[in-house]
Amino acid sequence: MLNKIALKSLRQKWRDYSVLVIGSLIAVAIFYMFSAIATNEPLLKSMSTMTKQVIVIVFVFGEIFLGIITFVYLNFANNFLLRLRQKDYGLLAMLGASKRQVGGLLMRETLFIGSIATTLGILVGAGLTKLSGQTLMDLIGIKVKHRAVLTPKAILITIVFFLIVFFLNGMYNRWRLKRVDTLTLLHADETVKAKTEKTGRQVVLGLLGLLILGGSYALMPQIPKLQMTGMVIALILNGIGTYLFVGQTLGLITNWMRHADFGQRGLRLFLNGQLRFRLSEYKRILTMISVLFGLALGAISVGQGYYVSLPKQAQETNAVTLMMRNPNAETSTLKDVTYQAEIKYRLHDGQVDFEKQNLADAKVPTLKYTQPDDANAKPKKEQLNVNAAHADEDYTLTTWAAYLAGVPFGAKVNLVEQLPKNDVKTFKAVSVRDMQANQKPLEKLYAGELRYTDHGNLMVPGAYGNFVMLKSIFGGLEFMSVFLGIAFLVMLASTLMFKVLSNVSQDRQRYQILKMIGTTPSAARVSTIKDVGILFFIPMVIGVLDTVFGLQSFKPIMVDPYIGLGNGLMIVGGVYLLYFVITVFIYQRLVLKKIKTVKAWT
Amino acid sequence: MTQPALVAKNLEKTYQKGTEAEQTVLKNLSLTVDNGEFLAIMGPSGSGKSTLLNILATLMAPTIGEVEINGKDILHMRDNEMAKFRGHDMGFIFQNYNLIESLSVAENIGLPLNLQKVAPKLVKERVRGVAELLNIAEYLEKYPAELSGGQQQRVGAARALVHEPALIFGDEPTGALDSENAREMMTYLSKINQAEAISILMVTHDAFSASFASRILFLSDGQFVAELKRGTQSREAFYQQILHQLGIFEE
Repeated sequence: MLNKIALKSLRQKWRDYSVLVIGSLIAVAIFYMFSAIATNEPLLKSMSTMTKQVIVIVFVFGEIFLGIITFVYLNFANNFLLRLRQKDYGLLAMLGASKRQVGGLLMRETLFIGSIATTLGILVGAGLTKLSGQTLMDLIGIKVKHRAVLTPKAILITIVFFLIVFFLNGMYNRWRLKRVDTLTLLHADETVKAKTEKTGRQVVLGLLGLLILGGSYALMPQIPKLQMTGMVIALILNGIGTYLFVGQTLGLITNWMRHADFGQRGLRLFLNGQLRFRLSEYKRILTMISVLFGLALGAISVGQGYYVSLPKQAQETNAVTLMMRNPNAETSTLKDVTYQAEIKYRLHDGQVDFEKQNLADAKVPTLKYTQPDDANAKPKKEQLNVNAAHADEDYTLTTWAAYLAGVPFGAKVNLVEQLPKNDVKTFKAVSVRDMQANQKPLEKLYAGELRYTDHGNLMVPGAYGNFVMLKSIFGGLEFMSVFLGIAFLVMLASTLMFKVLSNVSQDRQRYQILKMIGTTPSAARVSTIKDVGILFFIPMVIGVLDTVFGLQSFKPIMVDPYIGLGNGLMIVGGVYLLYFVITVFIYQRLVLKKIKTVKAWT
Repeated sequence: MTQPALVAKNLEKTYQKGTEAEQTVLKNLSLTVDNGEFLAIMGPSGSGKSTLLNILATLMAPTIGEVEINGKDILHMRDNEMAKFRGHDMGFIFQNYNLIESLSVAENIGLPLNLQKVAPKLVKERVRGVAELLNIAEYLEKYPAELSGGQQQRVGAARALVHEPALIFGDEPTGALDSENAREMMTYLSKINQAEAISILMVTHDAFSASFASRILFLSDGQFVAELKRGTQSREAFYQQILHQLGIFEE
């Protein structure tokens, strides 16, 4: 019987449930995708050891993060669901169902939704893996032929994880239900009067909120020093500050609008009433959405930032762009060549000999770090002085030697007056002004070097080789940050959508009344857009602020933490806008739909 | 004499539900509400009362027929025009009050004027005026949930009245009230009708409420079957007359 009721309720309120299902589904899909990539053997095998380790760590970390957020999201979404069903539960309780039975019903519904979301999510996730796998491989610059998108290991991990999440969630719902008495349940829909707070108190609390929010912003640049503790404290302060500031400010604004002439025209009064009435719920949800928005935008901005600044950063890691052992390397296709040379060497007993005169003639460029203590200081580019002390420990020479000798690092360099004529080989070195402009020819030249790299265990010396390696690390990071960001975003936007749609039944009646007392259809449409818009706009503003200040904490590890903000804003803004449009569309359809027989007349 | 508040001619409404046979709810109905008249339409459930009210109140289109309110053809208006017309010339009182619970009493009453973009100062004056007329001035800052049913219905009446419409529609305005509150409500409606010279068209199945009207039309199976006029007799006598008429129908 309970199963029947649970199923029936699902069918009746599918629209409300569908938002929850879709939100969870996307979380499952992204979780699955991360799992599938992190456990994908053929993919991992094709990577160098170093890349492999980084990628796995990056994705497992992403999964854990995603899991925590999903859990929070589900609790939030379920909160609304619980309210949606409260009346039914109250009625059941009245009819003699025990708390245990009602709790069981709730648990069943949660698990039903959970299994639907998990099953569909894995399928969607498989599709995502297929699509994104290509993107990922492009980003980290590898090619794999056979990749399975549905791997048993990933499926198992996903199912077990979400089973636990949904089960815990069901337990939490039950526990919440236990604390409410039947009467409260029955009258859940009836709204209580809006509380009016004293203006003075609101101003003080609002300022306090602003102060705490500012405190969290001030703390953010210190996070690298304070580490995890700093991050947690900043996050908590940010949450409390946002809650107080947003809540009190909105309270003040709505109160002011009530009495100001500005707030009296057209539907402003009505909109204001809507906002004022929901303020206490809005405070909580707007706070969570703001924080999530900040995290989403931050994650995407950092990922984008690393990726965008990669070629530039890589260019500064070496004075020479590429060194080529391949005798057939054709450098004529390169543009803007700033340096080019052929250099003689002799390899014996794992050591590399260079001829002093030859190096001097070749004017080998090298980088000199004038301020070794400052990680952000740029090295100076100068010509290698072959006669200087420790010239044989020069960075450019030792990386060349390691590559020539076939050891990852630490090949001995000897600077000799003259190389024996019969045992001399040569390699080429080239520098270009702009690596990105030479992407194609460099790629080709690099491909010619692959046979010397001992299956990726050796790095091809030069800025381009560094670029390829950095790309494999940060490409994964970017990929993960974008998807993690989108996962945050989808969940927060779903929560908002859920919130808006959970008010539909009340709002529909309100808009019908408005219609009858002379509201034009266009005015009603504008009003719905504003109504939903306020809810979307506020967290966006706070979230962007959070990110702008939060990126400060990446200063020590990024050349310019803000470089990816533009791209991040575009991605996040795009998805967010899409959600806004969809929510308004659904909301309008539900609230303003043409009524054949007017329910108000009965 | 000035033009009537409402003229409806040859109204017919047929419903077609799926494959079922057509159902004619209103059959060639005509009626006129004179300026300043208080007309009640009585009839059992299923007689077509609600359909008639929906059509007259511009919320539904008839299959055939014409409706003019205040001299304007309301069946051929665009949505926005219709909304403005509703906001200017018509007021509504509902059985279940239909107040917006997120707005205070004063805000609820003033809403129609705000929609017309009337200056806030004027709105305030007007709201106070009607609130005093309906004896709810002391509740202006309260919220609907804090008021009794009778008080809420008076707020509903004040909202219907505030923009000085030509015609107020009432749909069982006392349907959710106890007899004491119903009497009070109807007394106020009469007061509005007389003091403000606003025409009222009310649909009800309650003889007591109907006895406050100046004329009553009885609707049965989509047709008017009888008409009663109060004339100069007292309300109590009119009430007896209505009960007697209803008794005839019972037979």
